[in-house]
Amino acid sequence: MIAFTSVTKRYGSSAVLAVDNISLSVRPGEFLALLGPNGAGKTTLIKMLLDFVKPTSGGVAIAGVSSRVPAARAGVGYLAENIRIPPHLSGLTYLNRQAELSGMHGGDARRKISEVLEIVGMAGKEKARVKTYSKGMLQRIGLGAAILSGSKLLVLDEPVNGLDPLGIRDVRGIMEGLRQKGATIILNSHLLSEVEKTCDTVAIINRGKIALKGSLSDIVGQGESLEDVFVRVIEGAHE
Amino acid sequence: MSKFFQIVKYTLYDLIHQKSFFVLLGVSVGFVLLLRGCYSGNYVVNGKALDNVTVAWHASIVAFHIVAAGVLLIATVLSMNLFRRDNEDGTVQYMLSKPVSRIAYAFGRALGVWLVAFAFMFVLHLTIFIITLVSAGGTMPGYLAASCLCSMNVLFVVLLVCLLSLFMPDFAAAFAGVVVAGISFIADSVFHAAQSTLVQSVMAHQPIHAPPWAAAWPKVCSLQYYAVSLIKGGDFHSIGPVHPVIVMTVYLCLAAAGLALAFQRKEI
Repeated sequence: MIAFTSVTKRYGSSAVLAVDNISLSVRPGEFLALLGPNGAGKTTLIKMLLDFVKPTSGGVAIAGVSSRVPAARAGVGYLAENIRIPPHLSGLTYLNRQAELSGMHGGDARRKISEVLEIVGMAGKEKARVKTYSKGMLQRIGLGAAILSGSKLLVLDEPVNGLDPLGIRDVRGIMEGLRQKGATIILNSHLLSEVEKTCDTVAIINRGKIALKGSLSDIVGQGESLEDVFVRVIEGAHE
Repeated sequence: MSKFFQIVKYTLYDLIHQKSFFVLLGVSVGFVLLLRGCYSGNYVVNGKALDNVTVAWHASIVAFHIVAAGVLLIATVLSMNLFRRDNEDGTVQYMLSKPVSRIAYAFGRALGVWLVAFAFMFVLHLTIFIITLVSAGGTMPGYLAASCLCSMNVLFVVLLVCLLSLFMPDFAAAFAGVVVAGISFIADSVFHAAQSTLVQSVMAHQPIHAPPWAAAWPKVCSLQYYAVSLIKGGDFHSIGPVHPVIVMTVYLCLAAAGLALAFQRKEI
């Protein structure tokens, strides 16, 4: 489904590698969490997947198509970290644009948008301007937009960022529902407890390299939590 | 291609949803309407009284130049922060995370700005055309065609400022765009003034040659003079051997190619 092949990213002429020769694949229907400390290279990896930044070397492919080709992003939904939506748009206009750019039109788009608004709990609030939305409402509309166009792949960068506990529980429920429907999801999150509840596979990235990758059941031993594994891997790498 | 037109449509909506746009347009139309006051005066040149149509005709030509040049400033202001604003409000992320090419995005946004600026200019020129027709009874064939021709200048400024804004702060990009157009206005105006009967008689009808840099500089002002020559129906003298329409077409292609290349490399 997704293949990062020997991907390296060096920003400008700096000696620091944001991503250092990472090879990673994600199977269809897999729910992968990218974990790592700040600056580990997780967001750069996602940006290369969406062709927001170009790899210095190596390549990324979605369903066998290079991510450099716009068609590779058909069926890909993306929720950015710290979601920003043009404040003059209404939530509905924003979703309409997302649907149109994803190739949905007319009744098909309207039906899908209604479904998505129900899923993210924004039905009835979609006609208000985005500038009147709370952080949680913004996050929900952003998640709705990702679900709307993410029939093939969902890329969620910190989806529970800024949400209250109830919002976090709702988003977890939405992700759970998507997983049950067989969606391929890449989740970038710092909330290890949430990752533990929702994901199948985890990749811990540190200093631009994959320090550990495997299924949750394989990497989290008896009597320990994902947080224990994470701390052991990151602190072990620093010693 | 449909994605490109969708982005143009979104850009038009994003730009004209603001009340300030219509306020600016309304104020500009109001100023243009004040032109009617010029038509009612009694003007005497060399002891000869000018009729209303002649006065209206000359006033309309002057207003044509002012509007065409003024809209270049509006286009500069609309273009200078187009991409930065898109980056700040998340527009670029939501558009490019879809199966939309960077070329479609960059040119869709730029074309949207051009259409808004061009529509602004055309409405003002149309207002002048109508009040000249209604107040003075004079028709100026070619006036609106000349306005359309000047849209090439608007497109050039939009592409240039958008391109420059990828490499420098907004204000610097706008300033650089104004400098490019300003140099053209100074160089071309000096040349066209030198072609006047008065200067030609002083110079004993010796041909005036522009320096090579002036001949190669973007012909923003010359294109405007050429557009006005379509209204006047008179001769047009171009700086250098190449017609300003051709020069501006080349510069448009260069600015478009530069924007395409620069935006392909831009990291988001």
